Amino acid sequence: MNSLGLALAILGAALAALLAGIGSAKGVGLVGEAAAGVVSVDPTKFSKVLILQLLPGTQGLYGLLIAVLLLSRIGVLGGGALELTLSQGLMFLASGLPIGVVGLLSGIAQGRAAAAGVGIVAKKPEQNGKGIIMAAMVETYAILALLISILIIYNIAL
Amino acid sequence: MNDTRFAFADARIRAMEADLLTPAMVEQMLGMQDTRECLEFLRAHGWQIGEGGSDPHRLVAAESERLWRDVEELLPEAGLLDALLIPNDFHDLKAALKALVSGETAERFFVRPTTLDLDALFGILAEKRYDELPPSMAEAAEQCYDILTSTGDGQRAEMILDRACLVALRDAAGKSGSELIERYAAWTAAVADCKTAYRAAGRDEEFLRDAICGSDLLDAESLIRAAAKGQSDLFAMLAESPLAEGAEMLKRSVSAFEKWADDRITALCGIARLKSFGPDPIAAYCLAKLAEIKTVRILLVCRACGASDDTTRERMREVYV
Repeated sequence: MNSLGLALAILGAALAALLAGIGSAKGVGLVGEAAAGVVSVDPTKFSKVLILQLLPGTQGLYGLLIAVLLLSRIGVLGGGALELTLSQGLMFLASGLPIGVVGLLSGIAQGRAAAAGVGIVAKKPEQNGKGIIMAAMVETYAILALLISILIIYNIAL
Repeated sequence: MNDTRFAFADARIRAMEADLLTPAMVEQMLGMQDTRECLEFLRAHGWQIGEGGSDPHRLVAAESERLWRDVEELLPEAGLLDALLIPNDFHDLKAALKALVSGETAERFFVRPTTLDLDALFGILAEKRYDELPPSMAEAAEQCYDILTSTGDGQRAEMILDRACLVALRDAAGKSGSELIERYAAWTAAVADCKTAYRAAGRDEEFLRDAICGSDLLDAESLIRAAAKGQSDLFAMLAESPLAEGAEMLKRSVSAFEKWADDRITALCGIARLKSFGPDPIAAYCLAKLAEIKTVRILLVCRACGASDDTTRERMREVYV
């Protein structure tokens, strides 16, 4: 039973990194495609579209952060993994889900918003700030999910 | 999510839109009395004007071919915008059929780009291998050839081909997955039906039925009945339709109606501004560029024949940007 608890906690860390990473990869990839379309016509816009391409990359970093915090809390990173009950394991699994699921969906959604922002840069480069702001709004929900994941990790009694 | 397949193409198109002529640029060109000055201006704004570029027809043909070349290389799937080439396909079919019957060469009447293999087209028609034509063309081509060789009624043959073209356009638009192309096809069919009904007003219903295709905007049967009764009934019917404003233009002249119809298509392209992904921005760019090419052709032709500024302005199309 103890090893199952630990396995569930590690699964939580894996899901946080995995799902948020997929969201970021899809988002960054989508913006990259759009950015390449603009740069192929006007290479001078590279720096402006690069900022937009970076935006959906943060979800993957949040997922990584939660995975590291979680693994650290259960002692896996220090080499002395704690013995966890099933309920503790499930709680750690739950702690990885907010950033995992929200990271996946918000990464994709932010990618779409940022790729649309690339269209603004293409036509009106002086308005690129607006494109960045609109894409950055999606970030709010990834940050909220990150906070909840952190709160859960540090409030599970061991 | 499927629409994100177009992310690269849509973004590139947005960048290319920056090179379209703006109303201010068109106005600037109107102020140029010299054709060479106009051509220099166009060259500075991305038009590729080579030797013999002062001939408006060659210039337009070259720019149209360049447009399709540019667009085709960035589409995620080949043939996505073939619906927009259907009018060219049918034009070339018509040219080949007429050339075949009259014993002339069709090459100089062909317009490009087209989805047809123009080198093979003449042979297919000459040997009556109609099954090698696209299905939307085969029956109309056969019927048209029979009419031309038996009665020589060019008007009827042309109307059959024009109707087949509109039906093919409507069908292809339905399969394109583009809302803009579907609306463009419906609009094109309604405008063409309206012009046909106007020109053939007073003719018998059977003749009109062969020529009018019908669309979501204009019911074929109502239009046929009204046109058969004469122009006043036709205008009364059109006054109650989505083409009421166009009918007023048609009362003035066919060219005023055509300008109105082209400007409405440019306005229709506005729906693509609200879409970040999908085929619509690309289709809108193509239609906008074609409108720009038409505007430049009108301007150059008017300059060449010494038309006044007012006459030129009256005929020029609105631009998308």
